[in-house]
Amino acid sequence: MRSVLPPDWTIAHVPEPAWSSDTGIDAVYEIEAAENARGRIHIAIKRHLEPRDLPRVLRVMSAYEERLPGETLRRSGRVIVASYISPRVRELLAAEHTGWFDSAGNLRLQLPQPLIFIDRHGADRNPYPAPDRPLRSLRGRAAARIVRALMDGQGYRGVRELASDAGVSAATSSRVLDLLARESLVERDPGGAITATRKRSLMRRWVEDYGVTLSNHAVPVLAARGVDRVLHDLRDYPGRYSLTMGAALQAYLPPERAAVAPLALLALYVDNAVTAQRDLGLRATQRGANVLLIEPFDDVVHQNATARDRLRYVSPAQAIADLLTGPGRSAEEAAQLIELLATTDPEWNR
Amino acid sequence: MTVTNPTEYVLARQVLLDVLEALGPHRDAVVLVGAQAVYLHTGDADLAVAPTTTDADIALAPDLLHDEPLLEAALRSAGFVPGANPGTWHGTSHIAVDLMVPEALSGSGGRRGARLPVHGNRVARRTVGLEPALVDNRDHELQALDVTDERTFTIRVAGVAALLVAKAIKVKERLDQRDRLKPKDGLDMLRLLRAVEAEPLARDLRRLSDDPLAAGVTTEAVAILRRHGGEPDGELARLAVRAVGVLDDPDVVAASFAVLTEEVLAAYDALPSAAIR
Repeated sequence: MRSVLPPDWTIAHVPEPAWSSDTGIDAVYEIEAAENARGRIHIAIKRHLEPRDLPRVLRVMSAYEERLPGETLRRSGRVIVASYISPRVRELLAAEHTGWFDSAGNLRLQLPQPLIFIDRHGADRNPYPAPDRPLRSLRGRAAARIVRALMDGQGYRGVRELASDAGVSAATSSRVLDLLARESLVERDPGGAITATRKRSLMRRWVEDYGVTLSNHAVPVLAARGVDRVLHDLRDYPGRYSLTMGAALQAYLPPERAAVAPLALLALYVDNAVTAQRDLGLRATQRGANVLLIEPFDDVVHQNATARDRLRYVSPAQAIADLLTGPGRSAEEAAQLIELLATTDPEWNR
Repeated sequence: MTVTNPTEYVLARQVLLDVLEALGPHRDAVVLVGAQAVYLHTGDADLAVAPTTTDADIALAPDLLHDEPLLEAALRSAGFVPGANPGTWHGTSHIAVDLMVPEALSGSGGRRGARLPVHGNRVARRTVGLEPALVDNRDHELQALDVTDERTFTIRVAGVAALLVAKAIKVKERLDQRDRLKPKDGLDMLRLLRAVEAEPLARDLRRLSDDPLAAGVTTEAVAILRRHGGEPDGELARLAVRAVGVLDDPDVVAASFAVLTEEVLAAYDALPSAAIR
C-alpha cells in the first residue's frame, strides 16, 4: 500500500480497541499526509471472497464502524484483502464504497481525508485456481473418473494409487476426495488413504450430478429388426463400443436369475453415433426408438469394460449410474444390479 | 411391437401362476395390483420402456383368508423363500412376489408387517393406498405364456381407478423424500389415464370415494391429481417425462398427462357424491 502513496506520507498500524476482537476487522492503519491530514483504513482479510459472502462481511464491518466516534468515522475507509477478488465482487464492493486489494494486482483505495482515490486494475481471472477451494459438485470428467475408480475397486486405496487408476492428477483427486469425505461417502485414514467407500450412497450422490442423457450425447434410433439383431451384429462390429443399462444388467446376472425387466431399450456407448448408426443399419426416428447410441462425455465409460459372449459391457457401476438416470423402469433394474453386487462386495450395502 | 413374449415375462407369469396355485383356497382373497395389473389394462406401450417388471404385487383381503393352509407353509412348500422384507417372497429365477394388505385392514402394531390372525406378522406387508383394489376389481383369466404350461386361474385384477389411486398415494409418499421418487410411477399413471375414457374412470373414482373402505385414500388421491397432475409442468407430468427420457417428445407426454387428468377431474366433479345424492 505504501508503494501507491506519495513518499512523504506515512502509514502506521493502529492498535485495535479492546472491543474489536470478533468484529471482522483484521487491521486498522492510519495514513497521514502532509499538513496533518489523517485518515484510517479498516481492513478485513478473507481467504476467499465470493459474492454471496459479501453481505455478511460488510455487515460486520459496519457494526464495527458504528462503534467509532463520528469524527474518526468521517475520516475512514474500508478495504477488503483477499488472494483474489473477482470482477463481480469488485463491482459489488464499489457499490458499497468499499475498497479492495488482492495479490493479482487489483487495488482500490478510497479515503475522504486525506483525499485518496486509487484504482488499479489487475487480473480478471483467478491466477490461483484455488486448490483449496472446496469442490461442490461431482459434475465433470475428473469427478466421474474418481467416483468410478472408487466404485470399481474395493477396500484400501492410497490417494496416489487412486489418482493413477483414475487417470487424474493427484491434486484433482485430492479435491474430489475431500468432497466425498465431507459428505461422508468415503472413510479415510490420517494419511488420507481411502479405507472404505459407501458405494450405494456414493452412487446416489453421483447421479445428482451425472445423467446418462444429460452428461453424454444420446441419440435415440430405431432397430427395425429388433434389438437382438443389433446384439448379433455387434459381435462383428469393429468399432469401439460398450453396452450399458439393461443389456449390462442381463450380462452380469447369473443365469439362474431373471432380470427384473426385459430388454426394451439397447443402450451403448460408441465413439461416433452417426457412423455407428450407419454401420449397424439403424434408422433415425422421432418416436419408437429402441436403441440409444451414446457418445460419451469421457472415456471413463469404457473403463473396466468386460467381454461376455463376444460382446463388451461397461463396468457394473457405470451401468447402474446409467440405469438410475435413464428412461423407463431402469431404476428397478439398477436396484437389482446393486443387490447383486452387494452379495460379493459389502461396500454396496452402505 | 413384440410378437413373442420376452423370457422375463414368461417367467414372471409362471411365478404368478405358481403363487396362485400355492395359495389354493386363499385365491378368493387375492387381487392382482402393481405393474402387472397396469399391464393387463394397458398392454404394450408404443415406446421402448418395459411395460412391467417381473415382480408380482398381490393385495390380500384379510377377511377372505381361510385359517388353513397357513400362508407361509403353503408358499414354502411351493418353493417360495421369504425375502428380506415382510411380504416379499422369491420364486423361480429369484422373481419376487409381494403380498400386501391394505393399511386400513392391517391391524394395529408393527411397522411393516401386516397383522394377520393365524397367518402371522411377516407373511404380508402393510401398504397404504391398496384399499380401493379390494373394491374396484374384475375377474380376469390368467394363462401361462409358455405353451407347455396348461395352468389357468381366474383371479381378480384391480381396476384402472384403484390402480390410479394406489400410484397417486405412492407418489405422494415419495414427494417428501425426493430421491425416492420413481419416474415410472408417473409413466404408469399416464398409461392408466390413456387406457380408459375419462367418464367411466371418473365414475369408478366417485364410487370409490363413496365406499367406506376406499373413501379416505381415494379422496386423497383425487386431491393429489388436482394439485400435481393438471399442469404440464406439475410433479406428475414431470415424472412421466423423466420416465420416457429421450425416447418420446417431452411436450407431448407432459401435455397429455395434464389434459387427461383435467378431463377425469372435470368428469369427477360433475358427478354428485352419494353424500349429497
